[in-house]
Amino acid sequence: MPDRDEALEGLPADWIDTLDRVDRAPMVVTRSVDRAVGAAAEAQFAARRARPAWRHPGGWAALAASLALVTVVAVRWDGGDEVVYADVDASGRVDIADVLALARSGTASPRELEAFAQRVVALDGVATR
Amino acid sequence: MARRRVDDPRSDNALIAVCNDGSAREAARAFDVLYRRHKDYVLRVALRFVPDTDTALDVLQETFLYLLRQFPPAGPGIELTARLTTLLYPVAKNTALTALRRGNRFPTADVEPDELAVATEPDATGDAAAVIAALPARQREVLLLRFVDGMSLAEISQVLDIPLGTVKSRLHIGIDRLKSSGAGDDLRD
Repeated sequence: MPDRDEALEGLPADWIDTLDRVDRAPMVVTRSVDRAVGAAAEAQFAARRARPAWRHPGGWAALAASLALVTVVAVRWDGGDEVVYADVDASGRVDIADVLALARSGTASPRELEAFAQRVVALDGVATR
Repeated sequence: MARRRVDDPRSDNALIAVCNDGSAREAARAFDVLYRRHKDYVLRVALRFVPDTDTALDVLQETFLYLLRQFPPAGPGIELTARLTTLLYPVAKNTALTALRRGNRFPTADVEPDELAVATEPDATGDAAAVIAALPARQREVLLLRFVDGMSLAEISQVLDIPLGTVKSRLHIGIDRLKSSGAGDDLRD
């Protein structure tokens, strides 16, 4: 028993067996309840929104790969004025969430972030990639 | 205690985490494992308060639908800080008492749980069972939680929402009554 209160541990095993027998539930067929609960669970969880890509197993790897790609692109173009513009969170679209994801990654400068944000806002989030 | 009928190695905590945060398919499967693992316990608890299996089945269904509604997208999710049975017990008990009130199975709408008769057949187990059935419901409930359900005193305090000292007091009196009844002598024969 988890507790060690001597005064409360003094019920003989025979009494415990009797308690268990008295309390024992009869055999009950629960098939209808099984079905009802199962159907309710299926329906409720089906209403759950698809998880963002970064929350799937391997999502972080995909995110890291996207960040690496962004970095490579930024370095290769080396234009200084080139704006980072990528689906950083692998959501299927480029929007303000990508700016936030890039900011959290710490790989972009404030200037790059600002430019990215301005472009996202200017395009009103309609561009996809 | 409920017997495991599903050989899923995951703990209740792990299954609840999937229900909170898994995909629709994973969550439904995890919930099914939780249901099958604990349905016997909930049914047993229900039959402590209701006199027939039909009502107990209603209690079983309502208890798990309540649990289901705690998970997203219907609810905020569950953070389990104790055993799942400590969550299921008060839900099953309250659902059973509500079912009794709705069914007008007792003369007054304000029936206290302590006035309810235990849904057992004392004749089946002799004098000792009759002594247990004759215990005040509050003492019997604590004895069952402690010695049949295997809950710690702290867990009993939590599920009944009463102070730990009250749990000890009820348990102590209940044990004394059983021991002093004399029926225990028959058990040892």
